[in-house]
Amino acid sequence: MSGAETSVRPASTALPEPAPDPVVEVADLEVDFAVRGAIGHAVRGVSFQIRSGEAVGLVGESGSGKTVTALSLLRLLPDRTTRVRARSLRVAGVDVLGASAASLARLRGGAAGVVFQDPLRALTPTRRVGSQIVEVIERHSGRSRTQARLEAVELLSRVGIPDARNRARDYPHQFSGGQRQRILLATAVASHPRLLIADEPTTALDVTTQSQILDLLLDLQQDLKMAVLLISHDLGVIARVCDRVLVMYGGRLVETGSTSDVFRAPGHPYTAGLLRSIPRLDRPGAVTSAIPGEAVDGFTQVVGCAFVPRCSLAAPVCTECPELEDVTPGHQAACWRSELVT
Amino acid sequence: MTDSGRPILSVQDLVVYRGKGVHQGNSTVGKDALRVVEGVSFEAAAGETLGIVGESGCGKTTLVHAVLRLIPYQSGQVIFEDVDLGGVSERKLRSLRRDLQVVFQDPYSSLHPRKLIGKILSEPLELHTDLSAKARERAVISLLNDVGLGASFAQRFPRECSGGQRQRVAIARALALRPKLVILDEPVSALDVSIRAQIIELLAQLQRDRGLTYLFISHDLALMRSFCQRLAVMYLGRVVEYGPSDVILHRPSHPYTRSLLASMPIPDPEVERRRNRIEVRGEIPSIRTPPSGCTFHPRCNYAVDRCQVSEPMLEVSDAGVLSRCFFSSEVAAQPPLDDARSSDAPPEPVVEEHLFERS
Repeated sequence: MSGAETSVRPASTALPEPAPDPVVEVADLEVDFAVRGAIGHAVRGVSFQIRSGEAVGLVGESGSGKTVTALSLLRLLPDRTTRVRARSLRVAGVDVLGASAASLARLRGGAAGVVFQDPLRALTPTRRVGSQIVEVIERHSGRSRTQARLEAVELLSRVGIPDARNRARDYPHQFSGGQRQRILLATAVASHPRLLIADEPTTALDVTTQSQILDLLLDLQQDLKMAVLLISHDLGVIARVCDRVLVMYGGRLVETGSTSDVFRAPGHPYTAGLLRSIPRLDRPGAVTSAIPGEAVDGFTQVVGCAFVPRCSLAAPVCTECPELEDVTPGHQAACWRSELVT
Repeated sequence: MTDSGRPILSVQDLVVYRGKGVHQGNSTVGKDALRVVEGVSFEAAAGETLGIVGESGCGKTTLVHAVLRLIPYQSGQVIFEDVDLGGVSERKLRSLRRDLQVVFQDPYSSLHPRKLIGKILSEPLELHTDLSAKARERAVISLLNDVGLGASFAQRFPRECSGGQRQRVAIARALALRPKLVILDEPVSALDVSIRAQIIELLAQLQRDRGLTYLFISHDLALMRSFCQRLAVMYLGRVVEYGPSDVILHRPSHPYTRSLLASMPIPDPEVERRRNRIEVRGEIPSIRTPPSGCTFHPRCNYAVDRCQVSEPMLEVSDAGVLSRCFFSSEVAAQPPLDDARSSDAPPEPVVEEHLFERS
């Protein structure tokens, strides 16, 4: 994809520096899954790159393939029921589809950390939180136990757990939801990963807590120069955190670009419709309007553009599937009629 | 405040305990019981939408359950259409509940998975009316049409429907007995973003057509600004701010409301970049160990010694709303979302002013 050639960092930080290798490189990702004998297509040809230090948002409805795409990056989908294919699937230099079990294990929780929505399920309930972080540090850095313990306490304190030295000895259930998400972030970054995948990390949290966790996520990203892939249904969260955004619909990427470009002048009718359907605090009285109809799932046979049944701009040409094309440099949309999108 | 109609629902000084030793029809509670709702008062006028906003643990769910009298309350009053629900018999309560319905957040757990939708919708009619089977069938079809589903859905099971369709069924069920008041408990939070606006449009349409009163519980302040006429902001079992939603969400008079507003991300990267943040310290304390004085003081940027020892009353602020804060006038006088003390960047008053200006 050519979108990655354009710098999307804010102007103030755009120093002339050699472009680092992309941390994530995905080309033509296809994910099929089997449920009760039927074959579904969760991801139908997705390509993108994420460079180090870049925060990329992944947006889409349930069933759009966003979580499946993210899980594929680390081969976290069950092998028995899913089939992942790609022309290229590289994360932190590892060829994910060709990698041995051992190098996949090193990648997961090593060069790539993961944070999920529900920290209570992601943390081991019967182990002290400190030792869960120590384990990550030992495994991926080869530090001594003593050194790793010191680092774990430092890290807990870094993510905002007060009295970290004592609290490291507590179990996950002894923390509040917000604190557990902080601890999970600490576990995810303990190996100094090059990529952090965060799947709806704040969806289960209250708004004031969400705000704190997003600030922490941004701080950690800056400190560690990580690439971040943030999956969220909340366009406000994406606007706040991400430099660039990928919009998925029906298993395909339908729009990509800098968050500023995509949110200000969307090139796909789905993105435009989403933005129009959300009431905004700063625009009281502005009229919102819903997108009619329902999203397709992976079992629906789609001919052409999957958004056609809900699209007010649909035309005969839309029976052919549009590819991503430049709307402006670095901003692409998969729509035959993107110049008509308002 | 809107005086468009007489209050259809009036809640006065409601106190609700939960936990051990709390029993229906018994006003005494055990010593381990928790005071979850602490003297809450509000009114909903006929035909309007009253919003209740607050984070987890603020007591809004307990409040709803008490208003529906699904759980007992220990003191105060819930007056629905001039009848005090606290004093009525179970029998009378049953008939009152026809007028008082509820739609829950999760349409996946609120509908019986093994019942046809036609059955789900005709059940309340069987229980509460003497309509003939034919008449019930006609009523079900008309309900399905009213919520935008169509007659064919009567022959489907909930599992054959999407989340949005299920929520339409839940709304149809709530409307089956032609209620006057509907409690909407986070009715769109579990739905996809593109479906939320559809359901909100449907709810607004039904309210216009049927003159419904809504009690709308949500944490989405942007949605509440457009959907609710009046708002009650709750924190740790208390109402901390109460008044017209467009005033409260433009010029809040309580520091907690301000922090909620500042925490809501706005789907516009340019606006997000320019916004000044108010840091909200810490987390919501447990209701088991509520802080002394004003319960918000440990997290509050305005707190002084006095706030640790005495609890402020709900009083009219300079913005004309009720606020439970000694500094409500100072808070209301702040430019919208501009708090220089906690911002490391110099405030940009021009930008911040326009941020919350009415267009």
